[in-house]
Amino acid sequence: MSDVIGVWVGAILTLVVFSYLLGDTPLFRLAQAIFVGVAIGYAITAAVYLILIPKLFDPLILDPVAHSYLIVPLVLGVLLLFKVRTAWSPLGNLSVAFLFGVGSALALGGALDGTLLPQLAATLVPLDSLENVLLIVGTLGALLSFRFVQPTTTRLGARAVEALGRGWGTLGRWFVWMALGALFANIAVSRITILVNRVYFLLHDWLQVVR
Amino acid sequence: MIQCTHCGTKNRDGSKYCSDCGARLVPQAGLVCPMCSTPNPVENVFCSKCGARLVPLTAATITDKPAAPAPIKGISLPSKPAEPPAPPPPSAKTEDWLEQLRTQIPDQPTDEPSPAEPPTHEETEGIPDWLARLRAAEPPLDELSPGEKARQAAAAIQIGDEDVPDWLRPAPAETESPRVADTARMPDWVLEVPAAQAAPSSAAPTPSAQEPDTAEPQVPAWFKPIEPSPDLPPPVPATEDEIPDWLKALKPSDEALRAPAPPLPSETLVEGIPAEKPAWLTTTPYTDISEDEFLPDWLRTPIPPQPTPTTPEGVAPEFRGELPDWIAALKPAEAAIPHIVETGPVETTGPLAGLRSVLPLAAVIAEPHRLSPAPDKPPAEHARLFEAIVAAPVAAHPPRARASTRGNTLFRALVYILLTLAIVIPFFVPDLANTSIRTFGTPTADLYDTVATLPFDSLVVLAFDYDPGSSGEMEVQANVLVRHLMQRRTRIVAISTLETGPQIAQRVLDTAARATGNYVYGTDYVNLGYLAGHEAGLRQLALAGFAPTTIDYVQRRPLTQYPNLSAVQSWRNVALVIQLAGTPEVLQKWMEQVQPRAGVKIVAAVSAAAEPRARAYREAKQLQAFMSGLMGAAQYEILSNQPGLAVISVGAQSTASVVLIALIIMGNLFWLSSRNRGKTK
Repeated sequence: MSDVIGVWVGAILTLVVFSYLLGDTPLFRLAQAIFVGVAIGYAITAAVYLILIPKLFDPLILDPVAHSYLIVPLVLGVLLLFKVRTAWSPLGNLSVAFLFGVGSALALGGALDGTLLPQLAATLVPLDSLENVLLIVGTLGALLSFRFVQPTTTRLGARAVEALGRGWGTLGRWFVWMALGALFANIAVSRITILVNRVYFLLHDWLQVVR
Repeated sequence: MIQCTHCGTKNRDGSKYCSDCGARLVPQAGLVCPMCSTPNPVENVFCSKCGARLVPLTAATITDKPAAPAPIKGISLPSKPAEPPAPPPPSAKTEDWLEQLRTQIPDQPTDEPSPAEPPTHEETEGIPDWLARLRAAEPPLDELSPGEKARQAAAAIQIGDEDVPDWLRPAPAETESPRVADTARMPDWVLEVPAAQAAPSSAAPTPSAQEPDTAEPQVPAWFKPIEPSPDLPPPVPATEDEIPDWLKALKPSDEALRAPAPPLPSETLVEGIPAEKPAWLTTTPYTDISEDEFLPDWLRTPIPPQPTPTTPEGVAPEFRGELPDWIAALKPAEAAIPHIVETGPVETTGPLAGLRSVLPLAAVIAEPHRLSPAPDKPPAEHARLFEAIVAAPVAAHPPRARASTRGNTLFRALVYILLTLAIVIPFFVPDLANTSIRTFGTPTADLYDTVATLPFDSLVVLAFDYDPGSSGEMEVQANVLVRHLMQRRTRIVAISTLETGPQIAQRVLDTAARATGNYVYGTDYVNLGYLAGHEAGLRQLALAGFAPTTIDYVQRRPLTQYPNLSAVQSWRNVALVIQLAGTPEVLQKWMEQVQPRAGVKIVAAVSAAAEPRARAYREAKQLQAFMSGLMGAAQYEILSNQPGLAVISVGAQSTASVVLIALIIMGNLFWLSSRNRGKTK
């Protein structure tokens, strides 16, 4: 029975969301409010039951001596609550600074180790195939397309190099556009897949007209 | 033609004197505008450039000024007396006796000997006696009042009557005959002049000789003052009370009595009285009579008393009795002066004394402005006009806009209908969208091979990093992967870095376990729930592995209580990490925080939106294999020989993609055609 109710609620909410195609209707606003409320409620519940209770309160209550180090995150968390009121918000600056500082350091270090250096090393390939040649030409062209300096010398050689860089940068800009087009196409395909899934839900689970 | 600036009579070109009034004509060089220094033709009354008045409104005597003082420039009026003009050059019409006198004075440096030094014998030699007596008798001119100067000058001339040439003497029939002693000293050429040709006597009344003096015998009888009759009683001065009011009203004011300065023959007299005359009289070229010294006295008419000029608007009260109208007319309007003028200094000298910032200022020069007239419309009228415009009804939308909106609505509805049909029809007619799913050489095949080669009972970490919003695309991949893992009898440890991930993971695992039939929670698979901390949690997980105290999501028990799965505490026991990434960001987190440090093999099933990033990591060998989107799930279903929802839905997705591409192409063609039509029109 609960499955039937769930299917009906899901089907109605799906149709209500589709009503946005006709305009910003009150039903769509109602469905939007429901989704936002459910998401926030679920996030709070998950934070309490998946993080605070099992990983902070239970250890401190059951064995406070062994888990005394948890007082530090507890204090930082309590100080973060002072951000609710403007007059008290300076008390939460320490927690915010800790969060942003640690987060930024981890993100920068991880990006260097996990993305920049490996991706740079991946471009150092031998020019033994058309794929590798296109990879080198496209990568360097994309980098040259972000070069916005003007030539400062009138020597012929320097001007020739400048012209070559400018033309290569123009070619690299085309690579950038193709990459952005591929990204957009993938996003469109992803959304179409979700739409197909919703239509299948309506036809299969709700209407049961499709096997 | 030269127009007389005094009476307006037009004279022939080349004339120096007006044929009507005898005034000196202004040469054709033109008039220099006192406001903008623009040269203007003499006929102009107003400047042709700035519109300032060139001819005074009440100028009584306008004389020729070949060597006039520098013209007034800009809005600056001289606040100190100008330098005296240079003496005029000798003219061809100069009288002979004056020419003779000029030639007899050797190298006279200046025409003004110092009053303290009496003229020497050499200097007075050749000078007529009457002129010598005049020079010797006069005290320093600076010590005399203008009236005394005039009287002394007239007396000296009258006393020296015997030295006056005959032509300057009155006619014999009207005046007395010259004495023999006087005629003996006259030059012969003077005596030869017929009496009838003599010019009027110099004893004619001059502006300075307003009182009877020794020249009375030479005054015509009719001009003599009326002698009181001896029969009448002597006049008794009337008291103040006996004077009627109308007579009091006719009494000239002291200022009026002082105002008409008598024209004196000497320039030094004019220069010697600046303290008693208004400053503007010493600077304006039109009242300087020094240039008329060559004129006979009888032509010198006294300047009539100037009526009190009407005070124009904008003239300071303290100058209403001194500024003539033509100067007042040149005064800029207060409204036209820019705001910066208000901060300028106040003039303390000159005719503009008391006015603020009329003289040139650096700010005024640096910020050019024009004298704009005052607004002719009051602000209230503008306000009424604004209110009328605001109150006017708003024009209705043009019909073309309504048609365009209706067209857009219809076009949007057409797109929705076509897309819906493209998705729905393949579910009912699968053969219509018979999509050939290629699996060989695809990343999905690599992923399938990786999973298929896992040893029996190996430990696999499965990260459910997608939310309900992307579950429609990700869940088909998760289902096929979990089923394949369970077919391979792997131990599965689920985790998620999203709050909503554990619920999704539990549902997928339970569904696959039920389908498999022999998979038990806690023994064959476990859900460790949400991993908090984002990058920090992942970094900690990569460095230290799963903590023994980690609580599972379903039974709320620590990891140590699942002996079959507690080996996941070390990455060395993990055979494979499979990440189900709904967004590129969560995939990047795993690649940046876990992959470089954990030293574990990672594969991924990502959404189509995250495929480009997954492909980049795959090219860099950071990701062992991956599959993406619905097509990847369909490929995996075919490879694992378990066709399901992905294979069914991929036909609808392909049809919808084709329709979408067709609509994009049609829209671009329509746009290009409409743009070309707009250009041709």
